[in-house]
Amino acid sequence: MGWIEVAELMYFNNPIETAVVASINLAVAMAVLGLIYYFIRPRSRRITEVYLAGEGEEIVSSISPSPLNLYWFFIKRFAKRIYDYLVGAMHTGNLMDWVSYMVSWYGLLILISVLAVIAYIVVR
Amino acid sequence: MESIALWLVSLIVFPGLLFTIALALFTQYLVRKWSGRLQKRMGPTYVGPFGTLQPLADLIKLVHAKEEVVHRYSMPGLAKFFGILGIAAGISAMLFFPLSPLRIVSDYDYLVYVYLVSIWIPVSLLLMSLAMPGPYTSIGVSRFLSFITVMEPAYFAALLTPMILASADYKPFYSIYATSITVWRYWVNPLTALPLVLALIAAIVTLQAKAMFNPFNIPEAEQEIIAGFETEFSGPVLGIASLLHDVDVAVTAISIVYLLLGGPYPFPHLSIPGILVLIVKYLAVVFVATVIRNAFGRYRLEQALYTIFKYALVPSLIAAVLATIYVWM
Repeated sequence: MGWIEVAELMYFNNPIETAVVASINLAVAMAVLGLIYYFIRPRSRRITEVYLAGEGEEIVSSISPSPLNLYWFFIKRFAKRIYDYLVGAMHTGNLMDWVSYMVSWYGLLILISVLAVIAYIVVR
Repeated sequence: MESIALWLVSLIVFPGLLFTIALALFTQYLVRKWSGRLQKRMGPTYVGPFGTLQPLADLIKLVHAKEEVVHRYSMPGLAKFFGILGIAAGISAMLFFPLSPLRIVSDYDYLVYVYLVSIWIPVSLLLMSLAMPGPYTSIGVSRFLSFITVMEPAYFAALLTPMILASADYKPFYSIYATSITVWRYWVNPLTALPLVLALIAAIVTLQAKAMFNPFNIPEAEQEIIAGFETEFSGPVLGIASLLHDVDVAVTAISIVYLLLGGPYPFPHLSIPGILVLIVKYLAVVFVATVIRNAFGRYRLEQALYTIFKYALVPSLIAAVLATIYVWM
């Protein structure tokens, strides 16, 4: 084990102290940036309609998307195969299919947890 | 007193606020100039020597001279708050690199760096966008969120690879400083060079995606969804968002230069060869990103995500696993 020379550094014993210092740095940098912006900010503001390629506001149902819709592409397109599998396995209309699906996954997780604990005890 | 002065100089001047913003704007200039040359255009020419001050002139124009255009759903104050928060996160992250006169070092400081760069910067950009809502904005934000889901884990794993190798031999563990000054040793060992090559490829692809350069510019997708997540930005909000984007690109490129390419090492920082090596590596990373940007057209969203998955996430995970196996052996 070599030891990197840290005499000239701001060295902390744990990452929590580092996180606190980084947050203080962030806050100071924010304050300075905020001050700079305050002094150079523009003085005029113009209020306009929402830009909808020439259409009126009534063509959209809501101005902001729901949180689920924000992840729509990732869930429905990119992870479509996983999504279809999950939906197919759980939504057959038979309650027992859903129970066996959930129990099998929980069983697998418990098995992995037990094996991990045994591995930890053996290695230790 | 001296240490407080050193802290303030590091945070406000070098490599903090002033240097980070200057580097971000210069990186934007390089990308625009090289892109212009690759497309048989001149690129920025008029402001400053060789047009180098054009990005600064654009920033001042947007933040100071342009009027603020808002609609009745806009929250420009909130958008600017989050923009400044994201830029400050990038500035704070710069103090982890050996570039800084005051270097923040501890075990697992890499996790704090990731907290600043992979969480605060993209979240700030998203919240800026959501504070200026609109239908095109929503589509852009949705696409950017899909990107983050694949891109940020790839970035984390790519930079984790040299950390795993360095932490086996040097203290502090998982420290950016310790990894930066020792990673060059692992390039000369064929067994450790392979995971580093994979991690470097993954990191370059991730830089491309984080910068939203072609082929990964689908979140803004100019002309298709107007300007995507930044459609409703104008005046100072657009200027701050643009600066946040440039700071993100600069910090990501610096992280690749230090953590994967070893910064100026084996030469020290305060030497001519060290400074030259550092500059050449940074320019090389930005140049590769610019060439890729100009060589590709825009991918559709699923193409982009599969490309990031295939060429960034999978190689970075393989690299991290290979590094772990090497360390255990």
